[in-house]
Amino acid sequence: MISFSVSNILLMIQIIMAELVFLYHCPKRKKFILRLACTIGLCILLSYFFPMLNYRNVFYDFFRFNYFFLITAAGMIFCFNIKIFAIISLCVSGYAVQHFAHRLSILIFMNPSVYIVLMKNYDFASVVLTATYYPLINLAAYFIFGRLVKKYEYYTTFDKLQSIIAIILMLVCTGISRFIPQNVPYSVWIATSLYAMTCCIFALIVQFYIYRKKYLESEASMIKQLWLKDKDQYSLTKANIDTINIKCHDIKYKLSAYKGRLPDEELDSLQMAVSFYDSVIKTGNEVLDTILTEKTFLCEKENINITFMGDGKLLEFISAVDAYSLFGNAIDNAIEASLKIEDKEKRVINFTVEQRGEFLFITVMNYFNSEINYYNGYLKSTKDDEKGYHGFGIKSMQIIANKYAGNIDYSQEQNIFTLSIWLHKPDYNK
Amino acid sequence: MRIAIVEDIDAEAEILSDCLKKFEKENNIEITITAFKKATDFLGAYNNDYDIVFFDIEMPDLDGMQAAKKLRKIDKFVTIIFVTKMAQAAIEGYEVGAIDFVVKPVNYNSFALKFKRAMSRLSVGIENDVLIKTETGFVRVSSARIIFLDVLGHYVTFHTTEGDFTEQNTLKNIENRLAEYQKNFAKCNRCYLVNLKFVRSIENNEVIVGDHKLPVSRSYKKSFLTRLSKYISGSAKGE
Repeated sequence: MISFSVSNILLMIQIIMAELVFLYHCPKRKKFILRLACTIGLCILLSYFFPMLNYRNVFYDFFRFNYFFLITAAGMIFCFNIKIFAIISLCVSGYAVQHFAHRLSILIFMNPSVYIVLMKNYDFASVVLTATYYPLINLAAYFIFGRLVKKYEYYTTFDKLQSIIAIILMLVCTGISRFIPQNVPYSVWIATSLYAMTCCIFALIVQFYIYRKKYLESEASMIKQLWLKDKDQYSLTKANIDTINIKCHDIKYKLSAYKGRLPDEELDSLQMAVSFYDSVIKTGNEVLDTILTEKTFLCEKENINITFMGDGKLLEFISAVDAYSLFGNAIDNAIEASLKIEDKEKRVINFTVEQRGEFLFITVMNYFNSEINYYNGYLKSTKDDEKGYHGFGIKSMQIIANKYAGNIDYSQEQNIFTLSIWLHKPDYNK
Repeated sequence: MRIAIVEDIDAEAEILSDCLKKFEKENNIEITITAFKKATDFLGAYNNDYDIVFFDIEMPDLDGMQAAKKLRKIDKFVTIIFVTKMAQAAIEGYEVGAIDFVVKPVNYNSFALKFKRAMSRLSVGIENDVLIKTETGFVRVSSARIIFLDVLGHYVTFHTTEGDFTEQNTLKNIENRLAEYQKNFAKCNRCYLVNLKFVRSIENNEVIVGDHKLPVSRSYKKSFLTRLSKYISGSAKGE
């Protein structure tokens, strides 16, 4: 006997609600509301016209649930703009929540005395539950797991393997439930429900824990990559500068032999051109000197004036790469902000290092164009978009500062940006 | 705000003075400028009367760096800014605890940036005399002269450059009274409120403030260092 039933629609609604708990924060496709409306409409339609059997059949049940799951997943793919595997993964999470809720409801409501009352008004009871109980469970699921989707950006960092594991887990969990015959003692219902609920929770915890780990790993690896890039760049830059410096000195020496043989003016201008690198300030710290020398051409050309005051030798305890990353970052940023200022007279950067016993205090100040909120990308601590490299400036600087038992702070006041770094200098001797 | 300029070349002193006047107008503050042509004149007449001193490095007889060293012997905390033709000459200004230096010819914007930082560390422009009710009567002291405060039981002691004064009060009340000047103070410990200007060193979990050594507690260490960092950078804001 075949008949159509409201219970199919209710099941569909429950599944969609639960899936949305996890997909809520995911990037949406254009005309999302329209797409979602169509999806929900279509799914409900398909569920209503899905034939109902009057007798219980294991394979029918199994097929029904998975068919529903698949069409909602397809609908979600239509609505959200993330990878298919990610959608399926999150839909499975939703499915796990729905199944958990269903099993819990059996525990609560299948009490023999309650059961009799419910069976008389099965459809009505189901509607009430779908409207109240299921949303409540979904809300709880959102606060426990759903929020994490945004926090750890699961839709970009998921893993195919874990998705497959999650899917298998869920199919097993829900599939096995179907084997339970209808007329078993209430105690069997309790036992199987508890097993199912535990299984669902377990699947969710494992899924989200793995997600979190992957996210942290990928962020750490990105920062490490940038660090290594800085390391290579530093070696290259230093080697170049050293070579050029030596050549310049050679030329200067040879030029002095030409005194008297070339007009003085010419000789002087040649000497000046060649002593370009000598005019760069020597901070007492090799890395800082390298950074500043590296930027000399650009600064000369764009009229950016950097002044430095402090004992560069104090910074020797910082490893070359860390120093290059930290200060290179700070100076790069100050220079980029300066370039965006129209008035060339305002392109000044102030760099100071002060000591208070075991602690060093570094300040980098510059003007910035307040019309362009340049610092948005630089200061954000999470990945901005797929390209992902924005915003690591401050974060990677903070990691380095923390490494030396210090910290970073910044402030934007009117049109002045101030970066404050403090570090602990080990082996302090008075 | 009281500024001293020690510069042998009149024209240069004039330029610096103009920058100060421009800054004064743009930032709505009051500056009095006293100029000296010779460092010896300045040092001879020195009586803690200035907030910021500009020293030209390239001067005949006593040059700026030497003069600053002599100044430090009598005043460890006054703000010093060097003025020089060559940046390299002033880098070692840290040795005399100079806050910064300006390169000639003076670029107003560069000057303004540095001066702002110096000014922020002084909290100038704010009327901040504190009236202390001691057992023997009232004492009026400028907040700038408070080195640190400590609380013992119901009594707060003001350690100032003009002596120590005790008042029956709570640290919390005093913090409120310091009001706008508060950004220059930070707690290194539950019972010590330190004027960051007088912090000379932090070593072995102790902070040397003026001539006193105060313990820095573990729970206050991070916030103290953060406040100190902001103070030094000139980006501290009142709370």
